[in-house]
Amino acid sequence: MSEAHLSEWQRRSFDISSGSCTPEQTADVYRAHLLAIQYAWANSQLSSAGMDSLLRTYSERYAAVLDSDDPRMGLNNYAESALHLARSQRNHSDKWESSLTTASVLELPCVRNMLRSGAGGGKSLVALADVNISVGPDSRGSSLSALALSGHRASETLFNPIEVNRASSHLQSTAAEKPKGPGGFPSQPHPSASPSPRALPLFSLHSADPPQTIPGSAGQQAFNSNPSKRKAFYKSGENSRGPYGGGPYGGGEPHSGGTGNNFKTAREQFLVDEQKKHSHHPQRNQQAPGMAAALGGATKKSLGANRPRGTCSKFVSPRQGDEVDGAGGNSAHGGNSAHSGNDAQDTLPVDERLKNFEPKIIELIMSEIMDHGSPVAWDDIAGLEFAKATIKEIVVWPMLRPDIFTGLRGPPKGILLFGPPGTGKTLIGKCIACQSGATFFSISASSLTSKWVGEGEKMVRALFAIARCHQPAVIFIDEIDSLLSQRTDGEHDSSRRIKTEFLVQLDGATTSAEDRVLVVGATNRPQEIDEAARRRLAKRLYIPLPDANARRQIVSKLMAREKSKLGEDALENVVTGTAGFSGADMTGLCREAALGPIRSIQLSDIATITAEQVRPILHCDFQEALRVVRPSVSEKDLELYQEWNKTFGCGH
Amino acid sequence: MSQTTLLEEVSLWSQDTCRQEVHSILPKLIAMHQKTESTEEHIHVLKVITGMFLPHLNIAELEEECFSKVLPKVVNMFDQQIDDITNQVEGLSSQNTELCLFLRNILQMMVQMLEVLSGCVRHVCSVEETPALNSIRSLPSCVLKVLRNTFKHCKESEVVYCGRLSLVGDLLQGLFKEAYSLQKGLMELLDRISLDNTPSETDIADILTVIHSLLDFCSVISNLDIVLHANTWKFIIKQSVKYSSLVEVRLRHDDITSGLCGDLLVSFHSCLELAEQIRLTGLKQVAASPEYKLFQKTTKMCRFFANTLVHYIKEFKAFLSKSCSRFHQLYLQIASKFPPSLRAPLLPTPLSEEINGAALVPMDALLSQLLPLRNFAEAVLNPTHQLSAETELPHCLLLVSVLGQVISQPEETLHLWCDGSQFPEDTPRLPLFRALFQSFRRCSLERRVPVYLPGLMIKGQAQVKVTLHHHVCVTLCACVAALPAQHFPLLEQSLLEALLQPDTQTALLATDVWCFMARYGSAELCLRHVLLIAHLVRLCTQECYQLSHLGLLLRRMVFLMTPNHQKELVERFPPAQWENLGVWRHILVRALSQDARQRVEADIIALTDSTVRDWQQAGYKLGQLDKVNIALLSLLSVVRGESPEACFLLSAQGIVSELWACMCPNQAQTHPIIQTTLRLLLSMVTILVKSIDTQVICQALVCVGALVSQKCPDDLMLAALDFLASLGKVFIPNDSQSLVLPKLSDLFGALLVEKSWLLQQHALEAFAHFVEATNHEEVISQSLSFEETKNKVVNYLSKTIITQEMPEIRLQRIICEIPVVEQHNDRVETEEHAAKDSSPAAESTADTEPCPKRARQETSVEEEYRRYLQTAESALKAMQTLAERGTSDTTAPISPPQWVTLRLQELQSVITQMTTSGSTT
Repeated sequence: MSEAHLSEWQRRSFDISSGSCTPEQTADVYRAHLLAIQYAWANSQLSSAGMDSLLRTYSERYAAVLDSDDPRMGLNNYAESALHLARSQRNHSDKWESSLTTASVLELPCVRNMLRSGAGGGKSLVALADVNISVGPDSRGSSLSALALSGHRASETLFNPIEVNRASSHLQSTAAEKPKGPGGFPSQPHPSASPSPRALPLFSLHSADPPQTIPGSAGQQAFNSNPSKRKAFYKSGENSRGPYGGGPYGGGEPHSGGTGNNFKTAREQFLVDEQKKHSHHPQRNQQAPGMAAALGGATKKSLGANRPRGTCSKFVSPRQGDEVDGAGGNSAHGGNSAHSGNDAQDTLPVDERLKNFEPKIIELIMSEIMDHGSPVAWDDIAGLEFAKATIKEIVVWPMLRPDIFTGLRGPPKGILLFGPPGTGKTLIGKCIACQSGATFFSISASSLTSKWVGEGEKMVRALFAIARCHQPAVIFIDEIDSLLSQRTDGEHDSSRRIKTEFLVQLDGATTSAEDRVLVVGATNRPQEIDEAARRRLAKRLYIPLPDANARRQIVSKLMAREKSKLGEDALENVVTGTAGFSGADMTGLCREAALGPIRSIQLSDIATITAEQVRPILHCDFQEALRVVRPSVSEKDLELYQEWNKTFGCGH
Repeated sequence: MSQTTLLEEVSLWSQDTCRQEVHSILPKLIAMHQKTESTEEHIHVLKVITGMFLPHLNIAELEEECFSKVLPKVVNMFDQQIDDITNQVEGLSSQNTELCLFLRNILQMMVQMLEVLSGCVRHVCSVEETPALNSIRSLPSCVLKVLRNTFKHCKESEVVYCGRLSLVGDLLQGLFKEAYSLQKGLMELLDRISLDNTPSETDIADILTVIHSLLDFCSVISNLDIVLHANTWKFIIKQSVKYSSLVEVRLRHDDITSGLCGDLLVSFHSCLELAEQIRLTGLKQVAASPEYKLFQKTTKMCRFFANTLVHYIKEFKAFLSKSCSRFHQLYLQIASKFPPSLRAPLLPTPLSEEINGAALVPMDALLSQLLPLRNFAEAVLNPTHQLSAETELPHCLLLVSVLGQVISQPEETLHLWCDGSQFPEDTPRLPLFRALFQSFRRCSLERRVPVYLPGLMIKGQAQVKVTLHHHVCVTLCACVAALPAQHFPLLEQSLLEALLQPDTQTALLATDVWCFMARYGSAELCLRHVLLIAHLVRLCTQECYQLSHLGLLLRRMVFLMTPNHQKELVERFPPAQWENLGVWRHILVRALSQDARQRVEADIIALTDSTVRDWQQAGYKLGQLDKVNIALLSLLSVVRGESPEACFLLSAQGIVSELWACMCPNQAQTHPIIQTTLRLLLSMVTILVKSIDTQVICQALVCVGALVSQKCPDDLMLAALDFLASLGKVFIPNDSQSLVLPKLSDLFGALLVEKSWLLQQHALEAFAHFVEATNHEEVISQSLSFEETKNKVVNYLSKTIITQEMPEIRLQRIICEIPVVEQHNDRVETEEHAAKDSSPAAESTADTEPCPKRARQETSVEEEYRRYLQTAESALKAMQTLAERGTSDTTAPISPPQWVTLRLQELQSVITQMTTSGSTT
């Protein structure tokens, strides 16, 4: 019997010490430990006191996992899951009031039982006859005195500070004074002299090593400085492990890892919401305008790749919303109590609808959901002011404030971004999702058509159904032309079915006006799009080549991270020389130019040269590069886009 | 004209003649039909009437002219024939050809009668205008009567013909087929029928008769034909819904729902059995096998019944109050057959998915329909219901799904579930939160195994399996996150209650939820709760499980307070005061903000210091050592905090060193209170080991050595192990090495062979930690002088687990272990109640609380009643066995003497008197 218990316990603790456990598993292990301890107690393999001390040890470790907001070793009180479940509900926590008072609590039967049992057995550990026995080795022949430890251990030692060993002499002297009054306590003079090195855990969390190149959102900063912020975690319990110090998770300072996993109290959230209501405009983009539009060309178009979670795992009540752009989801939510009722009713049938789909398809699509709130800001996109303004107006704001964008102001069901390749269409798609706090599904048309021949329309249906469960949602479809090309007679039956299904889902009998699902299509072949699809993608925005200003931004952003000596004039020269370049072309150019200094190194030196010795990137490198890199978009193509824009576009 | 000639003549008539003569000839024919005794003739006339003249009657005349006159007789004839069969069938055998022919003849006539009825139905159906019910009233009722008898006969045929079935099998089959199509036709007809705008009472009664007779069929035909069974149900529901406004008050809702529930369960169980068979045969080509086809069919039925039930409930919600506990049982019975239930059969995944979709998925819809029903809530939240072991988990999961849904329901529903019964006249129901905690507590087996449930899918990560604790915790937290303020007090109470019951994991769940609540709610709320818990901790003067649960919560909550509130906590419970030490010993000082922490540390050290000094001045008396212990407990939490303030540590060290000087193992052996002191001192030395004097370490080591060699309590052992492990971090000076190191290795050697597995595990851990850090390698080899010990340690260090338990054996073991824990918990809880009842001292000392005298008296009176009744019952039972033995003993039958009966009668009158007087007062 006990053999089995021992091996189970060991298996669990080995799991923990292997370090590969998720916080959930660690918590489960400690729970299992606690159950085993309880069994041992119940089975009288353990005394009550022993149970108590073990219970304390392991529950402390458990609490350290559960209450910690460090995503790698803490569970943050299951906040993420719980708030996900409660996402469409209202938060009433500011109105909660405790009904328990010190008097009323005594009325509760459970408390009464506790106190009765406490009072009932108030027997002393010491038998009455023994009360006057003196404690100490000299009262009887002790084995201790036989040891040659230190000659004097008579009771008077204690009153004689000089005879006590040196280490504790300080205490002894003050201790002797002690009876005179409380002021004589040794600690009083000291605290100011030795300021505590201990920082509040909250601050250490955020001042630790700076995170990735793309800093977290600005909102995070705003909360750090909140002085009343509560410490949100149990500092990893390294002390609770008592003598062992180390241990799998007792590694001292918590790691920051760039994740601001803040827990906001309802009150704080309320204040933030208020603030947002009064300043309704984007103003808190403290982050450096990071990657330029060119990034769009370079960004991997991965579906659901494991990207760092920016602000998204924040514990914000009552629902998640990204705060960068002001008027965040929270304020919207605060204002739309009428809507929350709707939402609540929506969730039920929607989830039932999902039951008709194969779990595999759902899983596939779910695994392709990208995080909402990926850290892309509008300033990351160079130029394109018109497109950005339009999108904000017709997409982002309606998603944030569905209550005022109703009726005629209602958002379109779909928008189409078209323009030459490499101009930031994908980036805009991401930006929409992140700025509107929506769930972002990014699906490339090819993944729908190629992998799932015959299953394609099922996929489309499932995709939309899931998106409706995760409202607000943005479905971004890159290269939409391949999905929604003109329907011709000769085409494959399955692709035709996909198309039809897509059109139906986009705006058909099954969709309701309240759905907050936006389809964003991107293409560089707008002319190939089916006219029915064109109608449904009501807003069609031209994303042109970057103008001179935008190109300047791109070059300076990219060069800022390199060692370069590029004067104002030289920059201007480059900018004028690159008319007709797309954003991706600009990146290509800068890459080419950056190779210039390397090319100038002799082949024999390449092995030995230090990084500092490589010369900065100069103007001449750019001139060289300009000879090699040519624009990828031809004049003729451009005319085609402009022509189409004139006919169908919604821009200038 | 004789009858035969009339018939012959008529049968030669043309269509036109028939039409012209219908009104003149029909009464004659009907009269003939009424009069005739011969079955053959009867059928002949019937055929003529229905075949030739029925089509020429006006639809409005049908009932008046024909049906009402002809059909009752048909029913009578039919019944008579069945009676004939039953009477004659005894002698049936293959030799008795005469009888065989006779029976076959009857059956054939029965078939013909059914055909005639079918003809009528078809004719009415084929009329273009939809007939009104009152124009064909006799038709449905008579057809239904005939059908019922036919089906009954078919069903009973095996018994009736017993073994000679083959002689009439073909005809029976024909009979059934005919009945089948007749029923089908009738249902089509009834579908078409329309009622007037103001239906008469008779119409309504007719419809009810139709529905209820079909309902009665269902139990008869359920085994005969799947499709017919399903169609009949479909029809019943359709009609009920169609005329719902007319019949809803008078429908036998409970019979309908319980029929559906029963049929659902039957088909569900046969699905499971079929799946089990398929699994056992281990077929490769499952899809093509006939078993699989049958399985699919059954699954389809199962899905049909489930969906029909849901549909019906949706339509007639308001009338189903009596069936609600049946629905609850149904849910539990179905859910208990699916994972994660441990009793769920292990089925191949595709099959179990199919069953899942057919039975379990509709249960969710069922639940959402039932959610607003008061009776359902009462059934689920019934505080007294006894669930069988396999339905504990489904019940818990049911509560969890209610919890997940209820928050988005209208206020009324939320109130219904969350607030419990509020007036004494209500049917008692628990508040949802309390019910969930209680149910969670009862799922001890599932928590122990543990079972896994599908987790929540968020952020596009793959779904993971989570434990029950995780699952319940997340849902509870989500519900808390959206909980309106008026339900908050009950949540609080339920949490507190869960915290103060003996099951550790349930208490842990309560703390988890409480911490979430603290973080989600306002800081003020958190403060208020912390103060309250601290208050309770202070009141609780004795070590008990409640105290350790409260301590756990307090410890966690202090981390969540704002610095200012922490200061307030310190103000309200100043550590300098003696009675507050009990509070501070539970709090980790590192949870506190800097100034609060300094104050707490300073105060506790000062207080400990003065306590120790007082004790010393009073002459080291054993009687006052408990005070020292209490002070040391809080000092320990200061020491644990590893204060950055050097002087605090120094002071603590001083106190510890002094006290060590007084410790002597011999005394500890006789006085348990010294053991407590020793344990605390050991824990402190463990933490202070790097800075404390070697002498103290040596002393502690000697003490531990002496204690371990004798018998000592396990908590002391655990503290000793921690201490030994910490010694790895210190270097023993050369001059004391010869003294210390052998002692150390002896101790490790002794502790590593400890019998209790928990101690053994901790000994291994301690040794491993010691080994990792120490400079004194020689201790290691000396500790492992025994081969067995060595192996054990080597295995542990290389993380090998020797005994691998089979999952089934493990499960069996756990099943055996669960009652131990549960009984222990119950015992701990009832001991409390016993303490409450038996100690009047407790009553008088606890003057802070209102005296619940009345309640106590009541319970004691009840107790007395119970005791006397038990005595009476056992006496009666004994007498009964005596009497039975007397009569069964055939050799010498002893009947009870006369006076026994007399006295029993007297007793009876006493009982009657008591029961009547009890009911009137």
